[in-house]
Amino acid sequence: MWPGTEAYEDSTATLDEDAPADEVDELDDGPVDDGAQLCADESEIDPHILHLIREVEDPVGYEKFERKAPPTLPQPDRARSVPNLPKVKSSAFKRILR
Amino acid sequence: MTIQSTQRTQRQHVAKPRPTVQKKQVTKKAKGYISKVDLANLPKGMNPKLAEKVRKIGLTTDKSLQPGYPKPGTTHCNEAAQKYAKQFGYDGFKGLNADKMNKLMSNPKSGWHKVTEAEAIQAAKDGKMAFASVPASKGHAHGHIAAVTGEYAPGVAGISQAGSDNYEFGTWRRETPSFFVRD
Repeated sequence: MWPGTEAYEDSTATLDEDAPADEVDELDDGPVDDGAQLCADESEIDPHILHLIREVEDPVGYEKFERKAPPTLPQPDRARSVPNLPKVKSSAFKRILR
Repeated sequence: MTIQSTQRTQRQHVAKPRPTVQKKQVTKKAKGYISKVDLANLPKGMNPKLAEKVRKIGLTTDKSLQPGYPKPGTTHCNEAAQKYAKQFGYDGFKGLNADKMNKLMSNPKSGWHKVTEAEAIQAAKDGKMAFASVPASKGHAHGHIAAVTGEYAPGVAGISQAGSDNYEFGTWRRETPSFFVRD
């Protein structure tokens, strides 16, 4: 074998005429239909549409939010208005404490 | 011995060269799509009314929808889908990317219904608006969406899309999509 012949054979080995067309294209162009897209900022999207998207993106969070009962707070005004409560004067309390 | 191996090497050198243009043509043909359909002589499975709506998108003529515009790596499937849907009077896709479009359609409250590929094909044959869509995933940084406009081959949805390639009638090339039709 002449000097250099082996190296020449190696360099031609990468050319493969029989490679499938799709495989060749994949190497040429990269992944198909996976490009970045231009879109609006979320603040510009219809809030109703955004809400529907959020429901799918975070169904657990939205379920919690929707099912969460409002906190029960004491309602002093209603308690005061209940009729027939015994009215005790503060002086009577003082007498009892003595 | 030395002479024989040299002759073999020379034979390989002669057989290898292949014109690049020819390779590209084979690739396009293998993928199976038609960039611009002949409206007077449509592919057998494409709905004529939907073909007209697809043409109005400008998949092959609108500069802003071409892959790589305004910068390399940019594609416009979402904008094409929005333009297509608007012709049906639907404007819910406005400003969304393909991933968000997929999520919107996946919500039953949105008015979209998930259907089988066969049902999507039938909807397209009936002239209804239908889409094939995938969300972003581990293997793909971006979602993808395409209008279903007919039947490319028996049981195979024919789609119209903007993407790495823009074409008016062809087949889906990403991972298996979901199909949606609207009320």
